[in-house]
Amino acid sequence: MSPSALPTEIRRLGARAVRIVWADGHESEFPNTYLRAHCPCAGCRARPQRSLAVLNEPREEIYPVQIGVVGRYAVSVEWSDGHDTGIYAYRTLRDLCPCEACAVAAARAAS
Amino acid sequence: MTTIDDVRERLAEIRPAGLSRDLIAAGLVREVTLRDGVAMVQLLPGPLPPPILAATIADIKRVVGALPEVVGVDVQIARPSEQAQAAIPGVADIVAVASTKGGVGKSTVAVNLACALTRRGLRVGLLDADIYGPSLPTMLAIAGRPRVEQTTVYPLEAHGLKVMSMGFFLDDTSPVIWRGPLVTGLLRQFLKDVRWGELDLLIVDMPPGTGDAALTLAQQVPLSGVVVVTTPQPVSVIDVERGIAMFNQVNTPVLGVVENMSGYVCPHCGRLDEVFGAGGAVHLEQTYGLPILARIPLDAAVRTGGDAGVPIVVAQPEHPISRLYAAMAEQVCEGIEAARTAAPRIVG
Repeated sequence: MSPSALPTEIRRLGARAVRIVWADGHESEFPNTYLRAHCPCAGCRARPQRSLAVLNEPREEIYPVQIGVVGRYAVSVEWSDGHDTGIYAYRTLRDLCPCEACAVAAARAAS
Repeated sequence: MTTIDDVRERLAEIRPAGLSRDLIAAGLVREVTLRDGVAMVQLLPGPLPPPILAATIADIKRVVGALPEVVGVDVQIARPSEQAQAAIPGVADIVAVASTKGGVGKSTVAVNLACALTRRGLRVGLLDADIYGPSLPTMLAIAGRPRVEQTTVYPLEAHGLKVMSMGFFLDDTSPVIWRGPLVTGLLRQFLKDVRWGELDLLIVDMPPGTGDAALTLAQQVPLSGVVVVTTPQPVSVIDVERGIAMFNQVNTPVLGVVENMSGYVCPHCGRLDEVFGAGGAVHLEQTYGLPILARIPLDAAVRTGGDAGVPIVVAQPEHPISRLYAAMAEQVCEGIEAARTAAPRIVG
C-alpha cells in the first residue's frame, strides 16, 4: 500500500477532531462531525441523503470514545452516542482529507 | 456501611455530556477502591475530551462524596497503555493460505507448507478455518478433542505443529449446517480463545471463496500475507483474480501463487501430461507481478501422505516435492519481512 494511504499516527483531539499523520508526511485533520457524516457503514450509507443529514446531526457534541485498528487496512470508530458500525478504510480516509491542498487536487481529478 | 459496589452504583448515575451511556456502562472506569473512607476512582485516559472530563471529575467528587462515611474522593486518570499489542497473544505473524475455488489442494498445501516451516526451526500453528469441510484432522491423523477450560481452548499437536480445527469437535460424518453469522462467530472465537502459546507463525487454512470467513479474518487480525493456491486451468485462475482483488482491498499482501496439480509425470514413460492445462500461474505472475512460490506436480505420494496423516514433507523430506515446499517456506518468510508495515499508533 502506498505511503499516502498508510497512517502512522491517529490522534484524538478531544471533542473537536481526529488527526491522522500519514506515512508520506501529510497530516489530515477530520472534524468529528465531518468524520461522522461520512460514516461508511451500511446503515448510514443506505439512508436517503436527506434523513442522513438529520440523523447525523449531533444533538450533543459527539466524539470518538474508542478507535481500533481493523486488520491492516482500516480503523473502526465507536462514537460517544453509541454508533460503532463504521469501518473507515485508510484509503477512504485519505480521500476524505478536508485540507485545502487535497480538496483542490480532488476537484482537479474530478474535472 | 458504604462499599465499593455503592460507589460503582453512584458512578453508574453519571453520564458525561455527549456520551450515550453512563460511566460504568461505557467502560470508562478502570478501577474503584475504598480505603479508610477515601474512594479512589480510576478513569481510562483518552475517551473524554478535556472540558467534559473536568466536568465528569467534578460530578464524581460530588456524587461519590455524598455517600455516607466517604471522607475523600480521589479521581485518577489511568496511564495510557501501549496499544501496540499482538492481535493474537504470543503469535508473531499470521499467514493465510487461500484459494477462491475449491478442490485445488489448498489444505494439502497449507499442511505441507506448515511442516516445511517447522523444519526451518520456526514454531508454527495451523488453524483450519474451513468450518464446513475441515480436513486437517485427517491429513495430520489427529484424533481426540482439544482441552477446553472455560473459554480457553488448547490446540492439539502433530508433527511439531499446534493445530486447531472445527473437525476436532465433530463426529466423522456429521455435517455442519450453519449460516454465515455462526461461521464468523466461530472463526472469531478460534482467533480469540485458542491458547497457541508462543508462535513465530500461524498458518490459516481458509475456506474457499471471498465470503464471510475471508472477510472476518482480514478484519479481525492484521494478516502478514496470503499465499494463493490455484490449479493451472483458466476456470481456477479467474477465481483467483477475484481473491487477489479482495486481498488488495483489505491491504493484505499476496505473497505469491502456488500452482498445484501442475501436470502429471507418467511413472511408466516419464512423459509430462498437463492434465489441468498450463500457464495459470504464469498468467498471474505477468498480470499482477506475483511471484510463483511453487509449481507442484500431481504425485501419488502427496495424496498417500495426506490420507495417511503424514504429510509428504514429513514422510519423505528429500522427495522432490518436499524440496519444492522447503523453497516455498523460504520465500514465504522473505515475503513477510518485505511486506512488513507498522500498525498506526492510536493516541490522545
